[in-house]
Amino acid sequence: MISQAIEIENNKIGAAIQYFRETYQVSQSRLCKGLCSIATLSRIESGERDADSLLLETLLERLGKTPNQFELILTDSDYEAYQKREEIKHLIENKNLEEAGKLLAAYEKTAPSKGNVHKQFIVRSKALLNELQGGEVEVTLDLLMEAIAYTVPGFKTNKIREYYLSNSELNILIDIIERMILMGDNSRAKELIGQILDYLDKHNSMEKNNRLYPKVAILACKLYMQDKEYEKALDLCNKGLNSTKGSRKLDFLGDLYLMKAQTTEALQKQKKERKPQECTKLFLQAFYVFTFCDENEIAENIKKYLQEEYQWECIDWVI
Amino acid sequence: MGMYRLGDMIRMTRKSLSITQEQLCDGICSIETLSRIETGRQSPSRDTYELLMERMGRIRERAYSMLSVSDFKVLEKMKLFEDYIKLYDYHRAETVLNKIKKTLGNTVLDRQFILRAESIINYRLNRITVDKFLEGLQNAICLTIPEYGTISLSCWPLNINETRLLINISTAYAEKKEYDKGIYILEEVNNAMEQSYMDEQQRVDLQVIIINNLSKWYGLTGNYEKAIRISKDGVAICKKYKLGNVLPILLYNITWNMEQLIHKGVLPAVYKKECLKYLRQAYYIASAMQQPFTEQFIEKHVNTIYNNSFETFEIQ
Repeated sequence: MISQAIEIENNKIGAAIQYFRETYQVSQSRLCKGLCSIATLSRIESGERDADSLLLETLLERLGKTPNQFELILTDSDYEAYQKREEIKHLIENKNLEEAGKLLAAYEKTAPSKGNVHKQFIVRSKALLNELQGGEVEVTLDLLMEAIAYTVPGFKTNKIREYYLSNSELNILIDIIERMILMGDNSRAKELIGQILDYLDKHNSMEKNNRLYPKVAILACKLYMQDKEYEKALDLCNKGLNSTKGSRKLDFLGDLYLMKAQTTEALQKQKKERKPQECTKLFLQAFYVFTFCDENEIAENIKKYLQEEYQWECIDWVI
Repeated sequence: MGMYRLGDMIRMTRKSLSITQEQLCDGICSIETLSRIETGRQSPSRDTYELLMERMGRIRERAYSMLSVSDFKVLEKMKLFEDYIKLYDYHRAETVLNKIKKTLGNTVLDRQFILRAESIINYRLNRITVDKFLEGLQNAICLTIPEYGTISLSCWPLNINETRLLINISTAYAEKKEYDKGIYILEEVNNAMEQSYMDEQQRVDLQVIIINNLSKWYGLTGNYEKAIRISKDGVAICKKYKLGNVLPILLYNITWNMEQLIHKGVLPAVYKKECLKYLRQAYYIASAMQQPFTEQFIEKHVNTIYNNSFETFEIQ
């Protein structure tokens, strides 16, 4: 049951997709690779066809757009599917595993679960569930690989720079890296992280990608620090911090400053030139961000460290 | 991602105006139909939808499009415009605005945007008086809320452009030193935010800005306790959503108002210690947020008021 109002709305979305695709000079085939056929994309762009919102969202995200600007008005069945997905995500987040599993199974049986984006959503949710239920890392990793392969079909053989990727696709890649690290497979993790950083650098004009940068930089930085490659780690901290400039959020800042403090300190030790003031300030920046975000354990550790290593006693806060 | 059902929008708008289903649908459709539409069991035809929304004072264009403007191609330029405004770079903003004007249509929403943008730029570049500025903004808001000024906005489902406009209007009053009027508008907008169908992230971003202005103006009108209370509400929002951009200034506002209370003898002098704690937090968060201007501002405040430097000072 689709009212005309909705048709008009989706027409605009189609035209928007076409406009941004042409602005960024992305071919239809590259944009829709793994998501839908070129014919379907053409019909969406010309407004002949109503696509479901998850597909529209993914297409827009691959173009680096926040669907927020487009405020989709949904048909009822589409809205129901959207609500179910949100609920599943919510249940997984809150570790309500039994309920999440049930709802996911029900979702799998519904009509919208046919498209690749939906299959990807389902399999990724399964991967997260498996992990939370204490399943093996290998299984989680396999499921995540399966999930990404739905929309990035040549994932194992091609470089990801061949693709345009949405936020959720990039997040699955980040999930994959985290599991590789858990399995001790640092070399594969590093290789994939390199690819993602490369991708984000290449597409840094797309605003959405800038928000992922710090998350990836933190992961990469941890790997480099383990291998004592401090110069590279520091460079990533700086790039990560640079990408958060002008942002409104405190997310990632604590980790970035803490790692910057640690790498700066390590490099100073290597070069035997101690600049305690520089390190103290970085540690304090990390401390105050963590404290405000109620990450008390890590904040307490920084405080102790500052007292012991730098005899810095002057730490207090109210809120 | 903002996603709404038509039914929800009708129901929310109707409730915000406190009218019954009966009053709304009279002559347009049956109560049963309206009730089915509101609960999402039936999609309204475009005619019905428009008529219902129009009866509730919503403008036609807005009714069937939730897009902020008719022409999405200028959306990016509009964002650029807002960014320059935030940076106080009005000349660049004007250049962008001129480009926007060439491609923009002539819908109510387009005209609303242009009117607001021109008013801001002309005022900030000293081409018009504050009264003209205010007049322009008020004309703009009347385009989508014709009853502006005679109705309460507290329950009005404001969209993002209307909210921005109202914040501008309140600022214009503040520039005229009519803080009470500015406060009155922002209190209404702040209430309306609670039930707006805006995206949550957008909503909290605007809310902290509103709260920051409110706390400033309550302070300037001598309502120090209220200013502190409302700043703390803002800080709580920042904490919940991990927002850092307005946080240092909110923490500073708390201190400034506490200092006034200490000065007046309402608070004992020992509270200076607490002020310094707030300031220290504000200082490091501003520097972590890479806001050098705020960082230096707070450092200077500590140096002059407390005769103390940040890197070394101890609590006395």
